[in-house]
Amino acid sequence: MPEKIIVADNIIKIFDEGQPNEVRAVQSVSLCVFEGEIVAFRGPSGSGKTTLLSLLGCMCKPTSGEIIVCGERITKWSEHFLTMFRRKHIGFVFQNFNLIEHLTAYQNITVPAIPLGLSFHEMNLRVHKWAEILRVDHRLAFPINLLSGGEIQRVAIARALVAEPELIFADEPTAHLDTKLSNELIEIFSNLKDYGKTLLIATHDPIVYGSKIVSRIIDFRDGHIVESGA
Amino acid sequence: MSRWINILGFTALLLKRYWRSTLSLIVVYSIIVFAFASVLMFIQSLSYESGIVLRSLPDVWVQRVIGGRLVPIDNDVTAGLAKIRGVSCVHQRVWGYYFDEGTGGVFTIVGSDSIPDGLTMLAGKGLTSFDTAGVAVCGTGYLELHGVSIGSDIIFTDTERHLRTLRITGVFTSSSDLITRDLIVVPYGEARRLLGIGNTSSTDIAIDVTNPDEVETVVRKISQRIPNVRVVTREQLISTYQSLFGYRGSLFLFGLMISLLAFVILAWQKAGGLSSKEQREIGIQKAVGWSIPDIMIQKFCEGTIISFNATLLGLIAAYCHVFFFGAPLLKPFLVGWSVVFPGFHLLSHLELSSIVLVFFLSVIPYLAATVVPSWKAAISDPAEIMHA
Repeated sequence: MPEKIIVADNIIKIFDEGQPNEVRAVQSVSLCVFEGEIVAFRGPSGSGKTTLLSLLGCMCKPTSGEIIVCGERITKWSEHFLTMFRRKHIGFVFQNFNLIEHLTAYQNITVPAIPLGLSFHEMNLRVHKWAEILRVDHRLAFPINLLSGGEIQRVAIARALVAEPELIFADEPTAHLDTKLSNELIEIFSNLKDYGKTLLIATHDPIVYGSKIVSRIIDFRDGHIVESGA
Repeated sequence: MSRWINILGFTALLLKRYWRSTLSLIVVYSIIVFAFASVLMFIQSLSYESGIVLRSLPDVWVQRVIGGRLVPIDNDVTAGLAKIRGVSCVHQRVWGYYFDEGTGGVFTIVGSDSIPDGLTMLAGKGLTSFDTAGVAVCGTGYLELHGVSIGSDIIFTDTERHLRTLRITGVFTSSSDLITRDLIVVPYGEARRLLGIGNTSSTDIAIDVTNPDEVETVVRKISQRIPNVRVVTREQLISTYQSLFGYRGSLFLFGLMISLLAFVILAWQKAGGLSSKEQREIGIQKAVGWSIPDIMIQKFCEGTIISFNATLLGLIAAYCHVFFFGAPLLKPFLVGWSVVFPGFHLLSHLELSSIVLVFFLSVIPYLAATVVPSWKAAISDPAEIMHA
């Protein structure tokens, strides 16, 4: 039986609480994610998927509720400890990939590994390992502005993996990709599962949530879980 | 340690990425530091050098003042001065300024029967007690202005409009050209004729005091015993020179400080108004696991690389400008204008405190101007990048 890697208990996230522009982005959400699962959060834009990923990914703290990630109760932690935890356990693939312009693919992939204090040799090994797995090793020396959309996407995934996290969070990863590249991405995610990674994907793309690799779909609307099932 | 090295390497990458703008920033920054450090080094060297030269002057000299003007002092006073307890030596000096109508230059004529203390000959021979008239030892300024050399005859007009022909027997040099450039040393009799000072008086009377601690006592006694005189001490003169150089330098430094301040404000505005791209990059770094201290270390390294290199470049350029090339950009403003412009070579003298001061005024404000706004960006919520 796989272990629970994420547990969220009745979490609420309110932005600008008490202000006229108050937003209740996540409301009373409880869920758990098991090791090795690929969970898709499905819902329309503005439903709160990204905020939920931010909360579970230790990017921000909930207004109330409890979150346990990798066995750690992170809810009351300071930002510094959340950062330390995030850099070790969580990798992110952003909607716009958010790579740093004018740096090469290699340099972009190393960014999360820099504060880890790895030796140059170790960092180099890791970059080449993931670049090879994701088939961008021949493009490492190129600035990212010279790469194709698919290569940029794979560089962004390699960056999320270079610190060897157990959890990968992907926010609308196919939003800017055509069908062919989206299918390639699904294949990559499928491979990651083989490496023991747990994936949480926020998406409203049927190519993603309709794929066989997804273990579970959690429907999200107006900050609430509407339905959760395989 | 590896973390620091990795961050430093990453910083270098980021700077290399925009190497043109980084380089132009360093160049502008260096120019400001260069100007600031040049003035500082120039003033310091000049003060140091004038201090060395002025140390060869007598301890005290006495001048006669009537109606606020300096007039020749009677030689009779000499005997009275010699009797004052603590005075070791008294000698009459004949010197003054000579306006050269042909070139418009003003030269200092000094009467002597030997080469004054502290001055050395570059070429030729000096004066002796056997030289009573018709010879002169000149500074390089006179020779260059008139295109003459040792052995040439030069013509002066005395105060009664008679022409006097002198032969150049020697040329001066000294540890500094600062005081010999416009100097012409002639025998006493010749100096009296050219300056219109009679045989019974002198320009001033120089006094050496046995014990330096008694200079003030001697000065007080002279002032009490002899009316209508001004008593000047060597320390007063040194202090006046230092103040003069300090005053001119301060004016300059004040202007440069404003430039430096303007630069810091510019840097602050640039950094404070971090472009959306820079803010986004900080957001990405935070989102992928960089902590606030990591980002601060990176920005600190970035600021240090730029400001340290610019300061170092500015300092080296200033050192070459002042000590190798003789500060051609500053001399006209800080030494003054003259037909016989002092062509002295500055002694290489630089205090550690000045280097520290330049670094303190340059590196610290720049670091503050770049690190603080970056810190403001770094404390922003990393989740924002998820919505970007």
